[in-house]
Amino acid sequence: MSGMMQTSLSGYLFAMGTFLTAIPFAIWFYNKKGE
Amino acid sequence: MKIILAILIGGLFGFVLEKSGAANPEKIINMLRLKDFHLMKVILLAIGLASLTLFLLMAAGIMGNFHLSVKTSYIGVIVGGCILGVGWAMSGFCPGTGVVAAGAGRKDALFFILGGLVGSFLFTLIYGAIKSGFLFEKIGGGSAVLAHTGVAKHVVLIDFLPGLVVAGGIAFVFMAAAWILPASDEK
Repeated sequence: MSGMMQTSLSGYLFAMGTFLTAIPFAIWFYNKKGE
Repeated sequence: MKIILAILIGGLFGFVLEKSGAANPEKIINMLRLKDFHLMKVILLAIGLASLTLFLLMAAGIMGNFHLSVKTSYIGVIVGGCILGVGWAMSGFCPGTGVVAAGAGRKDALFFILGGLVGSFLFTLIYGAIKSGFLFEKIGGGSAVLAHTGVAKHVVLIDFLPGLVVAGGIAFVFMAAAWILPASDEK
């Protein structure tokens, strides 16, 4: 967040990697667990 | 004095994170499963508002740009984000909210912090072997920013517009997204 508020490219890249992995992983992981 | 100020601001930040639900793993996991967007709206609004405030304060000369701390962009930043994304989705904690949740008395947060420390230690062990590899290849010239910050070493990617205009435009997009996004996926 602090990176993005400074408009830092590294902040956007880090957030992009995080969300692009976390969203599909969370959907798959918790659907598999049946929650 | 700086340490006392840091403790006070950190305490306030932790209080807000706890009260807003940002330290609640269920809310984070439901956000990532695209079921509950309350927290996403808070995050988007916080980034937009903080960015706008920061650049307004710098443009008005109230805050010096020496306070900025722009990290270098390299491939490892994306890879690190992906690794954190898996841990974030699985546990519902990120490094900041994990500490807040531990402070609020959650035992699972203590295990999360322990895992983070073990991961950091493993990274220091392999750092020597990977520091010359592709993970540390710079992207966008290194300390790259989208808006002018007035810091000479920053590589400005949108350099034909004033910093406040670029940062303000980006902040507007974040805040508009927070406004438009529905609170949940229920019709």
